[in-house]
Amino acid sequence: MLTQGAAPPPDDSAKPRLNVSQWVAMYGDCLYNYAVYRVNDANEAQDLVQDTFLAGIKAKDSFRGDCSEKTWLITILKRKVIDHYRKKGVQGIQSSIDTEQVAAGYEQFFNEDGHLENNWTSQAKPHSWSYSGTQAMETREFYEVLNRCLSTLPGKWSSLFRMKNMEDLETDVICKELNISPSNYWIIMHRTRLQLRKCIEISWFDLKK
Amino acid sequence: MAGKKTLLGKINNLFPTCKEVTLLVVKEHEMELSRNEKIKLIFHASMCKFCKMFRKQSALLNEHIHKAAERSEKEAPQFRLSEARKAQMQSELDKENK
Repeated sequence: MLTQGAAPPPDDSAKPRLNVSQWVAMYGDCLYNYAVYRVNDANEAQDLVQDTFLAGIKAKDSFRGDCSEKTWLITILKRKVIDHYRKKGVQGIQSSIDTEQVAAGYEQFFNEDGHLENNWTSQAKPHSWSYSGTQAMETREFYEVLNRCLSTLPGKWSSLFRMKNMEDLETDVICKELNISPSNYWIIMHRTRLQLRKCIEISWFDLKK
Repeated sequence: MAGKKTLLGKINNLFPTCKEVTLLVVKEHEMELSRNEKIKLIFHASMCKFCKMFRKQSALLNEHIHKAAERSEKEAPQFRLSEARKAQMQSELDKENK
């Protein structure tokens, strides 16, 4: 939270004005749309939007008008979304047990034997994706499938994946937020991508055959 | 485990497992691979159609996730709040904004 100097300036006619009474009408849908893409739960997304507006009111003295009201609110929401990921990512089992489970789960994807031939298990082998299905990846329906696939993963995994691929955070920042080591980061990202690819293939491309 | 200098070590290095190679694909999205890693990856993917497919599909997924993240900020909202929820939110805000 930004704290300005002790006394507020007596004349604030020069200050950019925030139009709080119009916020929900003007930005409600934009912020909600942004949040739904990221949290995949209508209620949680609504709560995030509400929290963002309330935080905006509390911080309104820090609005200096060098960006639009909308951009300023999105910046607040962005931070709220990352906090949401962090909370989801650190709750639950301790990371050491987690990592062992993650490592053990590789068996469903790869056989241990055979260096010279491919060692994907028959259930995990990639199949080629149809042209029509690939074309339709631009749609909102695809995004809903992707979100559903991500929600089947442990909280830490989906948080890590979203922080990297949607929020574009640096790897070391993500490790800090989720309290994991860089080597755990790669194991989790690896497993997430293997699982996600398979889930998308089944839930999207089988549908679009 | 055979060291890198021995013949077996060299062969192992040239023939990584699919597990290793898919990890390289994942890393490739986020960082520059070493020369050795690049050779391993490209050589393996030229022979293993499944890893090749994994690489192509991973790139495709990335591309669409990024596009969607961008769209979610720029497009006209596809997901909207109900009017009832909006009214409720605004009244909460008005209370706070006294």
